Amino acid sequence: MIWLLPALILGVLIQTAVWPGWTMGAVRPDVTLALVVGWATLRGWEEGLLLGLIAGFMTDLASAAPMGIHMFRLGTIGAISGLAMANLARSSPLIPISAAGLAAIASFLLSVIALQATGRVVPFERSFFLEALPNAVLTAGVMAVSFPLLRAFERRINPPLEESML
Amino acid sequence: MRARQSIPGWVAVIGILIAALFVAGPGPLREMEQIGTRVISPLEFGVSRGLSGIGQFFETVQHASDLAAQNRQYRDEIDRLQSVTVQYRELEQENRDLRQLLGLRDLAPPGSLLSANVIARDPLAVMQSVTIDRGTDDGVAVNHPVITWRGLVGRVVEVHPKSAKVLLVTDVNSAVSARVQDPSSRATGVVRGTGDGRLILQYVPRSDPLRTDGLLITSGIGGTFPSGIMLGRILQIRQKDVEVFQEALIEPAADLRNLERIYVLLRAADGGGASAEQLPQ
Repeated sequence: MIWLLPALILGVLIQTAVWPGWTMGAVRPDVTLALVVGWATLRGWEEGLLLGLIAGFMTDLASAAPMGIHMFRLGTIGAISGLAMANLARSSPLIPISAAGLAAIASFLLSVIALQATGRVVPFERSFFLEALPNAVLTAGVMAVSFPLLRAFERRINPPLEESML
Repeated sequence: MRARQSIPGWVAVIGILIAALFVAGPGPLREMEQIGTRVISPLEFGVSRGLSGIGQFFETVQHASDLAAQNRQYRDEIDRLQSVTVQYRELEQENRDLRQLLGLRDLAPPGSLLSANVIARDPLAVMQSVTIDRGTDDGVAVNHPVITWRGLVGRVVEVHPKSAKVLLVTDVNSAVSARVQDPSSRATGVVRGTGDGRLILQYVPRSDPLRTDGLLITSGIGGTFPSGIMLGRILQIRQKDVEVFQEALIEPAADLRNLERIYVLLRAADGGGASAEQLPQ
Protein backbone atom coordinates (compact mmCIF):
# COMPACT_ATOMS: atom_id res chain seq x y z
CA MET A 1 0.00 0.00 0.00
CA ILE A 2 2.91 2.33 0.73
CA TRP A 3 3.78 2.27 -2.98
CA LEU A 4 0.51 4.08 -3.66
CA LEU A 5 1.63 7.19 -1.74
CA PRO A 6 3.26 8.89 -4.78
CA ALA A 7 0.03 8.26 -6.73
CA LEU A 8 -1.98 9.85 -3.90
CA ILE A 9 0.32 12.89 -3.79
CA LEU A 10 -0.02 13.20 -7.57
CA GLY A 11 -3.80 12.93 -7.22
CA VAL A 12 -3.90 15.75 -4.65
CA LEU A 13 -1.66 17.92 -6.85
CA ILE A 14 -3.88 17.32 -9.89
CA GLN A 15 -6.96 18.28 -7.88
CA THR A 16 -5.45 21.47 -6.52
CA ALA A 17 -3.27 22.59 -9.45
CA VAL A 18 -3.81 25.99 -11.02
CA TRP A 19 -2.91 26.34 -14.69
CA PRO A 20 -2.94 29.28 -17.09
CA GLY A 21 -6.54 30.37 -17.60
CA TRP A 22 -7.87 28.29 -14.68
CA THR A 23 -11.25 29.20 -13.28
CA MET A 24 -12.36 28.95 -9.69
CA GLY A 25 -15.62 27.09 -10.17
CA ALA A 26 -14.37 24.60 -12.77
CA VAL A 27 -15.46 21.01 -12.07
CA ARG A 28 -12.65 18.50 -11.69
CA PRO A 29 -12.50 14.76 -11.04
CA ASP A 30 -11.71 13.46 -7.56
CA VAL A 31 -8.57 11.49 -8.40
CA THR A 32 -7.74 10.52 -4.81
CA LEU A 33 -11.28 9.22 -4.30
CA ALA A 34 -10.97 7.04 -7.40
CA LEU A 35 -7.68 5.61 -6.07
CA VAL A 36 -9.18 4.90 -2.63
CA VAL A 37 -12.31 3.22 -4.05
CA GLY A 38 -10.23 1.21 -6.54
CA TRP A 39 -7.81 -0.01 -3.88
CA ALA A 40 -10.60 -0.81 -1.41
CA THR A 41 -12.32 -2.82 -4.13
CA LEU A 42 -9.20 -4.88 -4.70
CA ARG A 43 -7.91 -5.19 -1.14
CA GLY A 44 -10.86 -5.00 1.24
CA TRP A 45 -12.21 -2.54 3.81
CA GLU A 46 -9.18 -2.47 6.10
CA GLU A 47 -6.77 -1.21 3.45
CA GLY A 48 -9.52 0.95 1.95
CA LEU A 49 -10.00 2.64 5.30
CA LEU A 50 -6.29 3.18 5.91
CA LEU A 51 -5.63 4.46 2.40
CA GLY A 52 -8.67 6.74 2.73
CA LEU A 53 -7.35 8.21 5.98
CA ILE A 54 -3.90 8.80 4.47
CA ALA A 55 -5.38 10.33 1.30
CA GLY A 56 -7.70 12.41 3.48
CA PHE A 57 -4.79 13.74 5.54
CA MET A 58 -2.92 14.77 2.38
CA THR A 59 -6.03 16.45 0.98
CA ASP A 60 -6.67 18.20 4.30
CA LEU A 61 -3.23 19.82 4.00
CA ALA A 62 -4.29 21.46 0.75
CA SER A 63 -7.76 22.50 1.87
CA ALA A 64 -9.05 25.45 3.85
CA ALA A 65 -11.81 23.24 5.25
CA PRO A 66 -11.41 22.32 8.95
CA MET A 67 -8.74 19.66 9.50
CA GLY A 68 -10.21 16.16 9.35
CA ILE A 69 -13.06 16.75 6.87
CA HIS A 70 -11.28 14.90 4.08
CA MET A 71 -10.00 12.18 6.42
CA PHE A 72 -13.59 11.61 7.47
CA ARG A 73 -15.06 11.46 3.97
CA LEU A 74 -12.27 9.44 2.31
CA GLY A 75 -11.82 7.07 5.29
CA THR A 76 -15.55 6.35 5.36
CA ILE A 77 -15.74 5.89 1.59
CA GLY A 78 -12.68 3.59 1.67
CA ALA A 79 -14.19 1.35 4.34
CA ILE A 80 -17.69 1.23 2.80
CA SER A 81 -16.31 0.58 -0.68
CA GLY A 82 -14.21 -2.30 0.60
CA LEU A 83 -17.17 -3.86 2.38
CA ALA A 84 -19.68 -3.34 -0.42
CA MET A 85 -17.45 -4.35 -3.31
CA ALA A 86 -15.95 -7.48 -1.80
CA ASN A 87 -18.21 -9.78 -3.81
CA LEU A 88 -19.15 -7.53 -6.71
CA ALA A 89 -15.84 -6.24 -8.02
CA ARG A 90 -14.84 -9.14 -10.19
CA SER A 91 -18.24 -9.81 -11.71
CA SER A 92 -18.19 -6.91 -14.17
CA PRO A 93 -15.63 -4.24 -15.10
CA LEU A 94 -18.41 -1.67 -15.10
CA ILE A 95 -19.12 -2.11 -11.40
CA PRO A 96 -16.01 -0.31 -10.06
CA ILE A 97 -16.67 2.52 -12.52
CA SER A 98 -20.27 2.90 -11.34
CA ALA A 99 -19.07 2.58 -7.75
CA ALA A 100 -16.67 5.50 -8.25
CA GLY A 101 -19.53 7.70 -9.47
CA LEU A 102 -21.72 6.73 -6.53
CA ALA A 103 -18.79 7.16 -4.14
CA ALA A 104 -18.22 10.70 -5.45
CA ILE A 105 -21.83 11.59 -4.65
CA ALA A 106 -21.61 9.92 -1.23
CA SER A 107 -18.35 11.78 -0.64
CA PHE A 108 -20.05 15.09 -1.43
CA LEU A 109 -22.87 14.31 1.03
CA LEU A 110 -20.36 13.36 3.74
CA SER A 111 -18.46 16.62 3.14
CA VAL A 112 -21.67 18.62 3.47
CA ILE A 113 -22.56 16.84 6.73
CA ALA A 114 -19.05 17.36 8.14
CA LEU A 115 -18.90 21.02 7.08
CA GLN A 116 -22.31 21.72 8.58
CA ALA A 117 -21.26 19.93 11.77
CA THR A 118 -18.35 22.38 12.03
CA GLY A 119 -20.69 25.35 11.64
CA ARG A 120 -20.10 26.17 7.99
CA VAL A 121 -22.82 27.06 5.54
CA VAL A 122 -22.99 25.00 2.32
CA PRO A 123 -25.15 25.98 -0.68
CA PHE A 124 -26.42 22.41 -1.04
CA GLU A 125 -28.72 22.40 -4.09
CA ARG A 126 -26.49 24.48 -6.32
CA SER A 127 -23.37 22.52 -5.32
CA PHE A 128 -25.10 19.19 -5.77
CA PHE A 129 -26.38 19.78 -9.29
CA LEU A 130 -23.57 21.95 -10.66
CA GLU A 131 -20.58 20.42 -8.90
CA ALA A 132 -21.22 17.02 -7.30
CA LEU A 133 -23.01 15.38 -10.26
CA PRO A 134 -20.51 16.48 -12.96
CA ASN A 135 -17.71 15.55 -10.54
CA ALA A 136 -19.21 12.05 -10.17
CA VAL A 137 -19.18 11.56 -13.95
CA LEU A 138 -15.55 12.72 -14.21
CA THR A 139 -14.48 10.56 -11.26
CA ALA A 140 -16.10 7.51 -12.89
CA GLY A 141 -14.07 8.36 -16.00
CA VAL A 142 -10.87 8.47 -13.95
CA MET A 143 -11.79 5.10 -12.45
CA ALA A 144 -12.17 3.61 -15.95
CA VAL A 145 -8.53 4.51 -16.60
CA SER A 146 -7.06 3.91 -13.15
CA PHE A 147 -8.76 0.65 -12.13
CA PRO A 148 -6.96 -1.57 -14.70
CA LEU A 149 -3.68 0.05 -13.62
CA LEU A 150 -4.46 -0.53 -9.93
CA ARG A 151 -5.41 -4.14 -10.64
CA ALA A 152 -2.18 -4.73 -12.55
CA PHE A 153 -0.24 -3.14 -9.70
CA GLU A 154 -2.07 -5.23 -7.12
CA ARG A 155 -1.31 -8.42 -9.07
CA ARG A 156 2.33 -7.44 -9.25
CA ILE A 157 2.69 -7.02 -5.49
CA ASN A 158 0.36 -9.94 -4.70
CA PRO A 159 0.72 -12.51 -7.49
CA PRO A 160 -1.62 -15.53 -7.84
CA LEU A 161 -0.47 -18.56 -5.80
CA GLU A 162 0.38 -20.64 -8.86
CA GLU A 163 2.75 -17.97 -10.18
CA SER A 164 4.30 -17.27 -6.80
CA MET A 165 4.94 -20.98 -6.23
CA LEU A 166 6.74 -21.23 -9.55
CA MET B 1 -6.14 -18.68 -6.55
CA ARG B 2 -4.86 -15.47 -4.97
CA ALA B 3 -2.78 -15.20 -1.81
CA ARG B 4 -4.40 -12.01 -0.56
CA GLN B 5 -2.44 -10.58 2.32
CA SER B 6 -4.58 -7.79 3.63
CA ILE B 7 -3.81 -5.95 6.85
CA PRO B 8 -5.72 -7.03 9.98
CA GLY B 9 -8.79 -5.13 11.16
CA TRP B 10 -7.19 -3.88 14.37
CA VAL B 11 -4.60 -1.92 12.36
CA ALA B 12 -7.47 -0.12 10.62
CA VAL B 13 -9.10 0.62 13.99
CA ILE B 14 -5.82 2.13 15.26
CA GLY B 15 -5.82 4.23 12.08
CA ILE B 16 -9.25 5.60 12.99
CA LEU B 17 -8.07 6.45 16.52
CA ILE B 18 -5.01 8.28 15.18
CA ALA B 19 -7.24 10.17 12.73
CA ALA B 20 -9.60 11.13 15.57
CA LEU B 21 -6.63 12.45 17.57
CA PHE B 22 -5.56 14.53 14.58
CA VAL B 23 -8.96 16.13 14.37
CA ALA B 24 -9.58 16.65 18.06
CA GLY B 25 -6.20 17.03 19.66
CA PRO B 26 -4.20 20.26 19.64
CA GLY B 27 -0.51 20.08 20.47
CA PRO B 28 2.12 17.72 19.07
CA LEU B 29 -0.24 16.07 16.56
CA ARG B 30 -0.99 19.49 15.06
CA GLU B 31 2.73 19.75 14.37
CA MET B 32 2.21 16.96 11.84
CA GLU B 33 -0.03 19.29 9.85
CA GLN B 34 2.73 21.92 9.78
CA ILE B 35 5.25 19.31 8.62
CA GLY B 36 2.85 17.98 6.00
CA THR B 37 2.19 21.48 4.70
CA ARG B 38 5.92 22.13 4.44
CA VAL B 39 6.16 19.07 2.17
CA ILE B 40 3.09 19.67 0.03
CA SER B 41 3.45 23.45 -0.50
CA PRO B 42 6.69 23.27 -2.51
CA LEU B 43 5.12 20.52 -4.63
CA GLU B 44 2.07 22.67 -5.29
CA PHE B 45 4.34 25.60 -6.10
CA GLY B 46 6.40 23.44 -8.48
CA VAL B 47 3.33 22.07 -10.27
CA SER B 48 1.83 25.55 -10.55
CA ARG B 49 5.08 26.98 -11.98
CA GLY B 50 5.54 24.00 -14.30
CA LEU B 51 2.03 24.24 -15.73
CA SER B 52 2.40 27.98 -16.11
CA GLY B 53 5.69 27.52 -18.01
CA ILE B 54 4.19 24.89 -20.32
CA GLY B 55 1.18 27.10 -20.97
CA GLN B 56 3.38 30.09 -21.78
CA PHE B 57 5.54 28.02 -24.16
CA PHE B 58 2.53 26.87 -26.21
CA GLU B 59 1.08 30.35 -26.16
CA THR B 60 4.36 31.77 -27.49
CA VAL B 61 4.50 29.24 -30.34
CA GLN B 62 0.86 29.93 -31.18
CA HIS B 63 1.30 33.67 -31.41
CA ALA B 64 4.78 33.82 -32.95
CA SER B 65 3.56 35.76 -35.98
CA ASP B 66 2.07 38.49 -33.81
CA LEU B 67 5.17 38.88 -31.69
CA ALA B 68 7.13 41.16 -34.05
CA ALA B 69 4.22 43.59 -34.32
CA GLN B 70 3.68 43.44 -30.57
CA ASN B 71 7.37 44.09 -30.02
CA ARG B 72 7.14 47.37 -31.98
CA GLN B 73 4.05 48.35 -30.01
CA TYR B 74 5.79 47.58 -26.75
CA ARG B 75 8.78 49.76 -27.68
CA ASP B 76 6.44 52.67 -28.27
CA GLU B 77 4.70 51.83 -25.03
CA ILE B 78 8.02 51.78 -23.14
CA ASP B 79 8.83 55.27 -24.43
CA ARG B 80 5.43 56.47 -23.32
CA LEU B 81 5.69 54.78 -19.91
CA GLN B 82 9.12 56.26 -19.28
CA SER B 83 7.62 59.71 -19.57
CA VAL B 84 4.75 58.62 -17.31
CA THR B 85 7.28 57.31 -14.78
CA VAL B 86 8.88 60.73 -14.55
CA GLN B 87 5.46 62.22 -13.91
CA TYR B 88 4.71 59.47 -11.40
CA ARG B 89 7.86 60.22 -9.41
CA GLU B 90 6.87 63.84 -9.22
CA LEU B 91 3.40 62.88 -8.01
CA GLU B 92 4.85 60.39 -5.53
CA GLN B 93 7.00 63.10 -4.01
CA GLU B 94 4.04 65.43 -3.89
CA ASN B 95 1.92 62.70 -2.29
CA ARG B 96 4.61 62.02 0.31
CA ASP B 97 4.78 65.69 1.17
CA LEU B 98 1.03 65.96 1.49
CA ARG B 99 0.84 62.84 3.65
CA GLN B 100 3.45 64.16 5.98
CA LEU B 101 1.50 67.34 6.04
CA LEU B 102 -1.65 65.49 7.06
CA GLY B 103 0.07 63.16 9.51
CA LEU B 104 -0.85 60.03 7.53
CA ARG B 105 2.64 58.57 7.35
CA ASP B 106 2.06 55.91 9.98
CA LEU B 107 -1.25 54.78 8.53
CA ALA B 108 0.25 53.65 5.24
CA PRO B 109 3.78 52.49 5.92
CA PRO B 110 5.96 51.43 3.00
CA GLY B 111 5.98 47.68 2.47
CA SER B 112 2.45 47.10 3.71
CA LEU B 113 1.58 45.25 0.49
CA LEU B 114 3.14 41.81 -0.03
CA SER B 115 2.81 40.28 -3.49
CA ALA B 116 1.93 36.57 -3.65
CA ASN B 117 1.20 33.88 -6.22
CA VAL B 118 -1.76 31.54 -6.12
CA ILE B 119 -0.28 28.03 -6.09
CA ALA B 120 -3.33 25.87 -5.45
CA ARG B 121 -7.07 25.92 -5.15
CA ASP B 122 -9.21 24.03 -2.69
CA PRO B 123 -9.79 20.35 -3.55
CA LEU B 124 -13.35 20.66 -2.22
CA ALA B 125 -15.63 22.27 -4.81
CA VAL B 126 -17.88 23.87 -2.17
CA MET B 127 -14.96 25.75 -0.63
CA GLN B 128 -13.99 28.98 -2.37
CA SER B 129 -10.41 29.24 -1.20
CA VAL B 130 -6.89 29.31 -2.62
CA THR B 131 -3.38 28.64 -1.32
CA ILE B 132 -0.70 31.32 -1.77
CA ASP B 133 3.09 31.03 -1.66
CA ARG B 134 3.55 33.37 1.32
CA GLY B 135 3.34 32.48 4.99
CA THR B 136 4.48 33.39 8.48
CA ASP B 137 8.08 33.63 7.23
CA ASP B 138 6.96 36.63 5.13
CA GLY B 139 4.92 38.22 7.92
CA VAL B 140 1.51 36.90 6.86
CA ALA B 141 -0.97 36.27 9.68
CA VAL B 142 -4.54 35.07 10.02
CA ASN B 143 -7.14 37.70 9.02
CA HIS B 144 -4.77 39.70 6.85
CA PRO B 145 -6.81 41.06 3.91
CA VAL B 146 -5.89 39.92 0.39
CA ILE B 147 -6.48 42.19 -2.59
CA THR B 148 -5.74 42.69 -6.27
CA TRP B 149 -5.40 46.04 -7.94
CA ARG B 150 -9.12 45.78 -8.77
CA GLY B 151 -10.40 45.16 -5.27
CA LEU B 152 -10.87 42.82 -2.31
CA VAL B 153 -10.14 39.10 -2.79
CA GLY B 154 -10.60 37.72 0.72
CA ARG B 155 -8.73 37.14 3.95
CA VAL B 156 -6.13 34.75 5.26
CA VAL B 157 -7.77 31.96 7.29
CA GLU B 158 -4.84 29.60 7.85
CA VAL B 159 -1.14 30.29 7.78
CA HIS B 160 1.95 28.10 7.62
CA PRO B 161 5.64 29.06 7.37
CA LYS B 162 5.78 29.02 3.56
CA SER B 163 2.13 29.15 2.53
CA ALA B 164 -1.26 30.46 3.57
CA LYS B 165 -4.87 29.70 2.76
CA VAL B 166 -7.15 32.51 1.68
CA LEU B 167 -10.94 32.38 1.98
CA LEU B 168 -12.39 34.29 -0.97
CA VAL B 169 -15.13 36.86 -0.47
CA THR B 170 -17.33 34.76 -2.78
CA ASP B 171 -17.41 31.86 -0.28
CA VAL B 172 -20.78 31.61 1.46
CA ASN B 173 -19.02 31.72 4.82
CA SER B 174 -17.34 35.03 4.10
CA ALA B 175 -18.82 38.26 5.47
CA VAL B 176 -17.49 41.78 4.94
CA SER B 177 -18.90 45.02 6.29
CA ALA B 178 -19.59 47.28 3.29
CA ARG B 179 -20.65 50.80 2.44
CA VAL B 180 -22.12 52.30 -0.71
CA GLN B 181 -19.75 54.74 -2.37
CA ASP B 182 -22.26 57.39 -3.34
CA PRO B 183 -22.45 60.99 -2.12
CA SER B 184 -26.26 60.73 -1.87
CA SER B 185 -26.22 57.45 0.10
CA ARG B 186 -23.88 56.18 2.78
CA ALA B 187 -25.85 52.97 3.23
CA THR B 188 -23.98 50.22 5.05
CA GLY B 189 -24.59 46.48 5.10
CA VAL B 190 -22.91 43.10 5.09
CA VAL B 191 -21.57 41.52 1.90
CA ARG B 192 -21.62 37.73 1.77
CA GLY B 193 -20.55 35.28 -0.90
CA THR B 194 -23.19 33.37 -2.81
CA GLY B 195 -20.90 30.46 -3.71
CA ASP B 196 -21.36 30.99 -7.45
CA GLY B 197 -18.79 33.73 -7.92
CA ARG B 198 -21.03 36.64 -6.92
CA LEU B 199 -21.77 38.55 -3.74
CA ILE B 200 -24.91 39.64 -1.98
CA LEU B 201 -25.35 42.82 0.05
CA GLN B 202 -27.62 42.24 3.05
CA TYR B 203 -29.05 44.12 6.03
CA VAL B 204 -29.46 47.46 4.27
CA PRO B 205 -32.54 49.26 5.63
CA ARG B 206 -35.16 49.91 2.96
CA SER B 207 -35.00 53.60 3.79
CA ASP B 208 -31.39 53.78 2.51
CA PRO B 209 -31.29 54.41 -1.23
CA LEU B 210 -29.43 51.91 -3.43
CA ARG B 211 -28.99 52.22 -7.17
CA THR B 212 -27.99 49.72 -9.86
CA ASP B 213 -24.34 50.14 -10.95
CA GLY B 214 -23.51 51.78 -7.64
CA LEU B 215 -20.11 50.93 -6.20
CA LEU B 216 -19.48 49.19 -2.88
CA ILE B 217 -16.41 49.59 -0.71
CA THR B 218 -15.37 48.11 2.62
CA SER B 219 -16.63 50.17 5.55
CA GLY B 220 -13.83 49.28 7.98
CA ILE B 221 -16.34 48.26 10.66
CA GLY B 222 -15.10 45.19 12.52
CA GLY B 223 -11.44 45.97 11.97
CA THR B 224 -10.48 43.05 9.74
CA PHE B 225 -10.64 45.00 6.50
CA PRO B 226 -9.54 48.62 6.27
CA SER B 227 -12.11 51.03 4.89
CA GLY B 228 -12.19 52.03 1.24
CA ILE B 229 -11.23 48.80 -0.56
CA MET B 230 -13.34 48.25 -3.66
CA LEU B 231 -15.76 45.33 -3.29
CA GLY B 232 -17.92 45.42 -6.38
CA ARG B 233 -20.78 46.87 -8.38
CA ILE B 234 -24.51 46.52 -7.71
CA LEU B 235 -26.16 44.39 -10.40
CA GLN B 236 -29.67 44.02 -9.06
CA ILE B 237 -31.66 45.31 -6.08
CA ARG B 238 -34.19 43.07 -4.34
CA GLN B 239 -36.91 44.57 -2.17
CA LYS B 240 -39.93 42.92 -0.61
CA ASP B 241 -42.81 44.81 0.95
CA VAL B 242 -42.87 42.56 4.00
CA GLU B 243 -39.17 42.85 4.82
CA VAL B 244 -37.37 45.54 6.77
CA PHE B 245 -34.12 45.14 4.85
CA GLN B 246 -33.34 45.14 1.17
CA GLU B 247 -30.70 43.07 -0.63
CA ALA B 248 -28.53 43.64 -3.68
CA LEU B 249 -26.67 41.26 -5.97
CA ILE B 250 -23.05 42.36 -6.44
CA GLU B 251 -20.51 41.67 -9.17
CA PRO B 252 -17.10 41.42 -7.42
CA ALA B 253 -14.57 44.05 -8.46
CA ALA B 254 -11.67 41.58 -8.44
CA ASP B 255 -11.64 38.78 -11.01
CA LEU B 256 -11.93 35.96 -8.48
CA ARG B 257 -12.45 33.21 -11.03
CA ASN B 258 -9.00 33.65 -12.48
CA LEU B 259 -6.60 34.76 -9.75
CA GLU B 260 -2.88 34.73 -10.32
CA ARG B 261 -1.06 37.63 -8.73
CA ILE B 262 -2.49 38.99 -5.54
CA TYR B 263 -1.37 41.14 -2.61
CA VAL B 264 -1.54 40.50 1.10
CA LEU B 265 -2.18 43.66 3.06
CA LEU B 266 0.15 43.31 6.02
CA ARG B 267 -0.33 45.05 9.36
CA ALA B 268 -4.03 45.75 8.85
CA ALA B 269 -5.06 42.88 11.12
CA ASP B 270 -2.36 43.77 13.63
CA GLY B 271 -3.99 47.06 14.42
CA GLY B 272 -1.72 49.02 12.12
CA GLY B 273 -4.81 50.42 10.54
CA ALA B 274 -3.58 50.75 6.99
CA SER B 275 -5.97 53.09 5.28
CA ALA B 276 -7.26 52.70 1.76
CA GLU B 277 -5.21 55.62 0.54
CA GLN B 278 -2.32 53.39 -0.40
CA LEU B 279 -4.43 50.60 -1.84
CA PRO B 280 -4.88 50.00 -5.52
CA GLN B 281 -8.51 50.64 -6.48
